[in-house]
Amino acid sequence: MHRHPWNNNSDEVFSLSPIKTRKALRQRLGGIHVDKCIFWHMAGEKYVGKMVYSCGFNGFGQLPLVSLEMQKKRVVTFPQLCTHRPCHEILAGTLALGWSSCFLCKDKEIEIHGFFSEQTTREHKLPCICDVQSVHAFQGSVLALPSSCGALLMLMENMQLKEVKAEVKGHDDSKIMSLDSTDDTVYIVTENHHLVSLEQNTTDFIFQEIFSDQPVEVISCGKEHVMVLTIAGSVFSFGSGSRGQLGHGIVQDKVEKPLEIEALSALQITGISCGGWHSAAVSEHGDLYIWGWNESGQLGFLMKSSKIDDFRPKNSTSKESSSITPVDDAIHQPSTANKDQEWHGSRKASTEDNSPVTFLMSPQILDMCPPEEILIKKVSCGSRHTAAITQEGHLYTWGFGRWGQLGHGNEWTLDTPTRAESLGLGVKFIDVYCKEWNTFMLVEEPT
Amino acid sequence: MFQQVLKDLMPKKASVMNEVSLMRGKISPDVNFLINSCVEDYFNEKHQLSLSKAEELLDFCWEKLNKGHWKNVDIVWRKAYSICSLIKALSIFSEAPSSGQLGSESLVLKKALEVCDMGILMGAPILDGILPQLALQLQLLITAGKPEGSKNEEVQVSNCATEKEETYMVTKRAKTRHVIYPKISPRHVIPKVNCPSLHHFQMYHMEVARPVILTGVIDKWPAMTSRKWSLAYLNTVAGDRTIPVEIGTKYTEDDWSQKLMPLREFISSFVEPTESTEETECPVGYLAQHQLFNQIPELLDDITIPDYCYIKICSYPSDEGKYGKEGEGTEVVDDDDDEVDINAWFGPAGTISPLHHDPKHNCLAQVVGEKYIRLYSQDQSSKLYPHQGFLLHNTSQVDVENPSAARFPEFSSACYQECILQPGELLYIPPKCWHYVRSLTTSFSVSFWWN
Repeated sequence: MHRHPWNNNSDEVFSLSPIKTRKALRQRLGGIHVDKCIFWHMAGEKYVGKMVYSCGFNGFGQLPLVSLEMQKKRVVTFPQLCTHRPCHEILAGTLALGWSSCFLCKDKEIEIHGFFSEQTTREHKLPCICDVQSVHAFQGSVLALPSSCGALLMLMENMQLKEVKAEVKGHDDSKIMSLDSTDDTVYIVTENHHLVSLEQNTTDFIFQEIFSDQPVEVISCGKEHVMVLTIAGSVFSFGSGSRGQLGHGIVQDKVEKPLEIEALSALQITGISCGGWHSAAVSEHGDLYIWGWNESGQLGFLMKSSKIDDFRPKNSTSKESSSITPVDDAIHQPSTANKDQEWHGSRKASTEDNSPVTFLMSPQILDMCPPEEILIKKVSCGSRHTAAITQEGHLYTWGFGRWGQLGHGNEWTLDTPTRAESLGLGVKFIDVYCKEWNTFMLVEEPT
Repeated sequence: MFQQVLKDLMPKKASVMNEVSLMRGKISPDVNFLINSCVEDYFNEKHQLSLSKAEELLDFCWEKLNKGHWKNVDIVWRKAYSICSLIKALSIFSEAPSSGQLGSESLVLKKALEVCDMGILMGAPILDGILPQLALQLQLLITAGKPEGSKNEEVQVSNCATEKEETYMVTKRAKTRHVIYPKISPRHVIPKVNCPSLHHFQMYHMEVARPVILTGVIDKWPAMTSRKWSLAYLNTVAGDRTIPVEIGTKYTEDDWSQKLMPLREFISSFVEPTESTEETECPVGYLAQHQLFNQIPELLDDITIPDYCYIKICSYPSDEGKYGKEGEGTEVVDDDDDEVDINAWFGPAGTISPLHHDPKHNCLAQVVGEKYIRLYSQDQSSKLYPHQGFLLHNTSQVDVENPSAARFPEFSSACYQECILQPGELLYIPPKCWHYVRSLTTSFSVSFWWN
């Protein structure tokens, strides 16, 4: 059987491409400074005049919207005002999103919207014994970090939050600083900057040290891959690389131990984000690097359309600048890349020759809207879409848009980064948090 | 417009609910909740709502199906995909305009049919194979609803085709693509045997791994006689069915990709390009190694599994046996040892399967057109330069008809056999025997794999 049944097939072309390093050029422009991530536990004061908006999938009424009318919609295509007011400039942690529910951090309470405990709910309050510093969605439930101790609060079957102590062999009493999760496993960054995995067997929780070679600052997880940013600004990745999402230049079945992404090693990375099957990183110079699967245009590169017209001989030479595909027409096909595949695609994956890209195996700079040069401050990836905030505070979104997650007022899937303008051109975007089929944004409105 | 058959096919709420309840505990509670409310909405005739929910669920299942290896995904997600496809198709169908506007009605039917096919291709069988049955009825409705003119035309063409060779698809041959006919040297010719006994076939071919062309075996198939597989016939029977198409010359090339499209579009765009598209560069499209007969069981009536495919040789435990056991309970159905695995291979002249070998016995039935085939026995492997690594180790790096002597010096000294397989002939390819296949005309072959 030289071919697999079609739906078991390693999909299409694998492309390998070197990064266009423009570091030198950027340095000539005179080192633009980018703020390092402010950690949520460092700030405390309430921001007045800053609003949270959200859009995307709302099939369980999970979006905490102010408008009760919008709350009833299954798909929210324009960003809508949320009831939530975070106490600092980073959204992730003050709220957490699963596919069917949303958790909000409210001092001594966790507020739950959407599907919870076998039914849909709105503003369900879950009391905590202490102040909650951050929340995290995991497998339809919630994990919380209390601000006092460095422990982890986990929701038990009796709907009580129970404290789980992180006891890593050889590291007594490691406090938890931040966490994220793949579909199956929770990963924790401890106060001493080690990366630890948390697995649950029947009764106990097993903490296992994954990485301590370099101090870890940020963790981000996709569906089946994990990326960490070290204090030194290096990026490591591990997990599944079946769509090139690990960024090591090849399709990989599974990488067990964190491996540095060499293509980024010469750069100072300030922010990272993992999508479902793609990854993104922002450099200190404001360059956005992106790689992985481009099945819905989430890399911002021309995607392969599933429409047959692509293969008809083209008699007109008119080049379309962007390809907009209502997703209803797009036929999705699963594509499972194969074990340890080392398929070095020779075709160049770039926008220059306008050839469609299915996978990028290595980080590649994404020019948001060439020839204009746009510097990026922050990036966040949802399941199959991506959002980035520029240094001017503009928001661009692209990728899968069927559930309104791009916030452009329609359900289109876009493979071109497109500025979100519905809140007006004067607003300044402070932060963006994408998860699953949703986008949350923190916005400063003009006075 | 509603036919009684279709009405009888409509699933009962209880049976759908039962199928859903079997998944409880294996799928997350939120998905379970939404599937239940989706089914509930459909049977309460809230079709818009059940449609939206089914689409949301399909997207969610799609993400599940794409996590990790396809074969490791719990089959429950494929079942869920099929159930949601069913509800989506039924919701679309129920929203169809009751009568009058024929055009829009046929669009709705086509949409519903496409949804069924996606459920068949990506999902797993549910409710006694309801999706293929529903798809059959939808295709019949679409074909029946065609404007009178075009319907008659098609019927006529297909009638003609059964009588006259000229209108048969083979005539497209040299016109569409520049095809080189290789000269078959007598030294390399594959022997032909007319309808040998099972015993003869087993003794002199299967057990000694000796390829042979069998004549007089498949030439009475309806596909070759009463229901001849002309393009018009295929369009009538399955024109609106969604099929996977490989695009690009060879699967080893970079530009190779796969697309889903209705059979009719595949035929018009790739198999039978019109005058205007002929000259311009159009990639080769190939409906290759697709289990078409599982998807469209009615096409099975046009062929017969050759008796030879039921011969079992009790041999020492093979590598495949061991390999198959690794996956334990999650193995996909087609690895069933007793099943004959039937695949369709349909495309224009110029489709190429690079030199490779498969683990099973293979009978390749040539129904329409001609194919050039080159065989190398397993003992020649050292001269064939297989690709390195897990994925393509069964495929040679050599371009058989244009080998690079510099890169593959040993290749020219490898012994081989060759043939131009004619309609009505059945080629036996032993397990692990290397084969290279290039279509010389528009071609439709059916392969039978068995252990």
